[in-house]
Amino acid sequence: MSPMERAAAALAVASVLALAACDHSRGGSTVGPPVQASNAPEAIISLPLGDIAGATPNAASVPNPYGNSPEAAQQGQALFVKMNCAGCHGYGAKGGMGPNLTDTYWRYGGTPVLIFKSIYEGRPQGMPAWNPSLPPEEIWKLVAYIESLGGAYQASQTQAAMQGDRVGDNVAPEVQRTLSASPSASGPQANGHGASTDSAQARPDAGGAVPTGAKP
Amino acid sequence: MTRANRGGVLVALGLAPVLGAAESPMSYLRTFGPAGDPATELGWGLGIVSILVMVVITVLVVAAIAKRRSPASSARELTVQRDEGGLSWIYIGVGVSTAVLIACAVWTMFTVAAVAMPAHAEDMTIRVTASQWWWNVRYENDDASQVFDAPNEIHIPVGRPVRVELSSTDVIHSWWIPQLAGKMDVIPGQTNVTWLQADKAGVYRGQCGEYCGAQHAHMAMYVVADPPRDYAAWAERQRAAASPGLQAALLRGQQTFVNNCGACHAVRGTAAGGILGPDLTHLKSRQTIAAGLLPNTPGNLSAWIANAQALKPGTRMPTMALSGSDLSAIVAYLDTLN
Amino acid sequence: MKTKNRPDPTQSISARRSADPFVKTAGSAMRCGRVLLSGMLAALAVAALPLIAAAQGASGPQDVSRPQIAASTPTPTIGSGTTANFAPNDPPGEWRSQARDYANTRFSPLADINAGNAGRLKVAWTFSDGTQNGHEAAPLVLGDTMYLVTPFPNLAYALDLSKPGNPIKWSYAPNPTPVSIGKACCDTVNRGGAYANGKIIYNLLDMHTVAVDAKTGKEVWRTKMGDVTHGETMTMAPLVIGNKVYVGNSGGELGVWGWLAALDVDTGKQVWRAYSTGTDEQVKIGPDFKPFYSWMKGKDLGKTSWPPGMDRTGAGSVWAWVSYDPQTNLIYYGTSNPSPRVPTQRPGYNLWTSAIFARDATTGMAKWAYQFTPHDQWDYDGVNENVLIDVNFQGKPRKALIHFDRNAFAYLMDRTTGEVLSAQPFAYQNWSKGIDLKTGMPIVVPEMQPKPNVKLPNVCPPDIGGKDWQPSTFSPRTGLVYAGIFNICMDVTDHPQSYIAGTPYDGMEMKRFAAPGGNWGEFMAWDPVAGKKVWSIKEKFMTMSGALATAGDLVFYGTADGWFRAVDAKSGKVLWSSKLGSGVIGQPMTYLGPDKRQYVAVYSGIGGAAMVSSSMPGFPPRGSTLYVFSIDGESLHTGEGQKETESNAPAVRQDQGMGGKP
Repeated sequence: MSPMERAAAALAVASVLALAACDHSRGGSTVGPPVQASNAPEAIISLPLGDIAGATPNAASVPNPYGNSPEAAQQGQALFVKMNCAGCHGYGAKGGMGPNLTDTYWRYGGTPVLIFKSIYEGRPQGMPAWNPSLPPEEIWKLVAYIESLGGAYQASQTQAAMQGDRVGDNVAPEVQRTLSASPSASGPQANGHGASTDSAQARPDAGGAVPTGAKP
Repeated sequence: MTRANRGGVLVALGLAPVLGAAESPMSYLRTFGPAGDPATELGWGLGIVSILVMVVITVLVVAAIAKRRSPASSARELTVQRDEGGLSWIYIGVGVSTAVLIACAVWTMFTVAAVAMPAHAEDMTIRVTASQWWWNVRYENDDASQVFDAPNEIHIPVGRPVRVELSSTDVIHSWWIPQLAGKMDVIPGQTNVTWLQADKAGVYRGQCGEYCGAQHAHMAMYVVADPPRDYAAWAERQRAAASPGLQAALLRGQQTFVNNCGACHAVRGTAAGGILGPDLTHLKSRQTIAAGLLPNTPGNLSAWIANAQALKPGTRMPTMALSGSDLSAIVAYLDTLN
Repeated sequence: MKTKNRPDPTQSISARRSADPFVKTAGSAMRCGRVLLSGMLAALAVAALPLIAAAQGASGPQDVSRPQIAASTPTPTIGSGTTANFAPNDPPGEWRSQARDYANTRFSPLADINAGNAGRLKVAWTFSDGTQNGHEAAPLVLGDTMYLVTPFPNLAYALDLSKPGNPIKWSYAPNPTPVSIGKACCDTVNRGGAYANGKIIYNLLDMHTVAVDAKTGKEVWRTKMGDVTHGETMTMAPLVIGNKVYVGNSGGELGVWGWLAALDVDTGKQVWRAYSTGTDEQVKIGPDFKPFYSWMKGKDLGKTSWPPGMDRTGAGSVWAWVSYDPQTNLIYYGTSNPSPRVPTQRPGYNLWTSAIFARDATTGMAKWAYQFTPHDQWDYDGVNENVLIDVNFQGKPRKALIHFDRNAFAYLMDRTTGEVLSAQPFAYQNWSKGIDLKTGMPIVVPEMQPKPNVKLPNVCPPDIGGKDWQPSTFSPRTGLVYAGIFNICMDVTDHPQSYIAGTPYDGMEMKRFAAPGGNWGEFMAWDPVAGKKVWSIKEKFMTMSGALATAGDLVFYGTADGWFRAVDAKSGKVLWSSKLGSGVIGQPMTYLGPDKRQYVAVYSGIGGAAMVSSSMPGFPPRGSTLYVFSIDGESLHTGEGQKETESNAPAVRQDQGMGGKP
């Protein structure tokens, strides 16, 4: 073969190999769950729902293992319809029989782990428990969808959420000193879209005390 | 070996794998019903015609190459001459070719018409909904109480045309049972219609024919053609709910099944009413699970439930974190779903 | 002037005197004086009466000695010939059940408040019951006591109307489980209680029926009727006839198995239960069952008109009104939509959903049935009230009923056979070309049938219909039926649904908006015999309150933004309006107080299905206040002097965290 022909052949072989290496499993098919999403969530279940009497609770800032993945949010939206969530919470999640999931009012807490707990455990006013019908990674997809609606708190804002703080609040100096080390006094922001004063705060897994066993 | 013999051996060798494959389940060289027979015959016919043409041309070309000039001609007679009778080759060639081509075209038209619709109107309709990566089949009926769902393994009565309405819940698939008919794409947002008929009782394997994602290769279905009485008995059983009156030991398995699986799977007669995954009311009556991936045995079922993602990566069925006793209780319960 | 009375100048004086009627006998002057004196004394006495009355505490120039009440079966003033049976003919000043009578006319014979003085209505007193959700019930009045039943948590109050401040006589807190909150499709409402045999009987949201002693407020019995974790709830007002209490379940959006049951009024034990789907035995269909139309004749149609097994989650719940004809001993009620709301999942007629049943009140066996919307595809429940009226139809007297269905058609039916006499649209609709009276079937417009996952725009009426549960009223004086109706359309997309017990088995995604005209509500007067509207009042907001007609020729209704109106029953002219604290979805009623004064009462407290319009500017917040009106706002114990509440019992259930958002 001439050098030209050799080059052409090599190119052909290389492109075939390259195509073969393409991951055809993306784009429309199931997003593979991150490893920690399918861990049995004992740590999550043991987290308290309310504030602990007489103590400062740990910041339960377990983030959503799916992070900001748009595929996870999309699959969560499909699950939201197929698991009849939309029948109670509305097809835009704006509420109906059940509460509005797009606003910043969260009766049982609006951080990812608390939303996860509400779905996993059920709640007294008629919210069914989805464990064991939905395995944890499917519930995290639902949480990803709810987070994408803009009303949820970021994982690092658990303390702020419990104390009702919002972005832009003034903070009295006496209070400033007692704030925990985690970036707080920042209110609910849509994941990745809200304004933030600190670039480190924009990522849901930045800073804050993290329960052992869960990777940021 | 003479040249002719060599040619014959070559042809035979070429056809051998073809002929051998005619008996394999996905072979389209032999069909068993009027939805596919005309096309298969046409295929064979065109194939044979093509081979004949090939042979004729090859013989002529070889003959032309091999033919030597007569030794009697002298050097001086090597000028170009026109022989008489050359045009007749052209006339014959064009005439035969045209006639054969027209005949083939007409035959093709008739075949296309024959496979497009059955000769008599279908009296049975199934509605097939393709999802990634399984087939849901609803057996339609004007009488609502005769309507039922039975996924992946499709039963039809022998000798009767069946209308197939195809729709998809997600991406484009293709409906293909090669031993019965040609392909028909299943396109989301519209309903395509085709038909089937099996003139011989038996099991015919089908396969999704349009790439549809990671497990496209594992999206099979089986069409089981039963004699009409067997079909009626099968349909009657499928319509029935799961029989009540389980022994106490199995009740726990049923409850565990409903709790863990009922949100996606349905077993009529219990509180499990999910429509996301295949209807399991008569799971044991099917020969395979996971859309033809595995034979339907308790062992395979157990492996599938324990870790579906390992067997069919990317499948919509999540890995259920079940304890050993829960899993065996569920499998024992599923074993009763005849 | 008659010549007889003129003195005849030709007569003698004595003859003249004897002829003069004024001077008949001797001593006439004294007679004259005596007559004059007694006349003046009488006049003084009459004039003094108000003062005496005022001294006793009553006030006002009204003659309070004898209230004007029209005859209990008044003759119509418009010659329509339409009448009704007002049994049980409760005392005119009382209101013992939500519909006032078995025929569900909601007509009051009181006429003190009438078209002449309605403009003088003012608030006389109010009562806030401390709950927050939609207030759909009417208060009951028996003697001097008013009884109230609230939405979740289903408290009951008895108010002593004879004492200053209408104090709470007793209160009762049944504490239903909060799980029921999440299973109620359309707010945690309650449509009221019924009084019978010394008990107030009503339903709790969490599937219990309770009876409370009307004098003491102590629970007499409590019956568990179903499992709330499977999505069933109860919101309807029981109807008591004789010794039976009729109750039904809610849950048409959650795949329940619908039923109507009869309980014993004294013990609460269930006597029978008739399901709305299933075999003939489950539906209590027997050899006496004679539906008028052929497609409802057959065996076990409640099962065979469904794919196998789907009848069990097919709903047909009975969540609204029951009426009764004492002459034939038949009860009439409707069933809800079929479940799921995605029609392609459940081919078949889906009997007996979206239908009306006529049953023997004693045994529960069905006499006839008629399905208003076979294979319902738009959530057109059949539960709206059936008002029993006797009409002259096409020259013949017929025992009929009038039913304004969700599907926007007004059905006039023969209540003895189930024949549809006429079916005319009363609200804007485009799903049907009409009802074929020969077959009884609606003629469905093919394009109006939703396909799964495809948006079908502009379907009218929407799921909540041309009219929902808000009940109509009949006035025998005009022969007309009055109702609040809707003028709404929807875009609908169906999503096939799994059945997961306790979660919605629904699948309809909807966006609702006003139909042509732009008004969401309308209050109309309907001629049931002619089958057309006589007059109507368009309302910007939804008209989802009940209606009340009185012998004073007034009709009362309220709007979702909180207006409560009195309308001239004949002309449709609005004579009086008052803006209440919250929207009105309750049922107005009227009663005589211990002072024999007529009062009109209605709850304000928006909620229920009216929340579908809650994003409209001007939509009110929630409320919980009962408003009681009278002429000039006068009432017993108001007026001069400082009064102290003669209290008996505290408000029950100090606010326990139901505050904040629900």
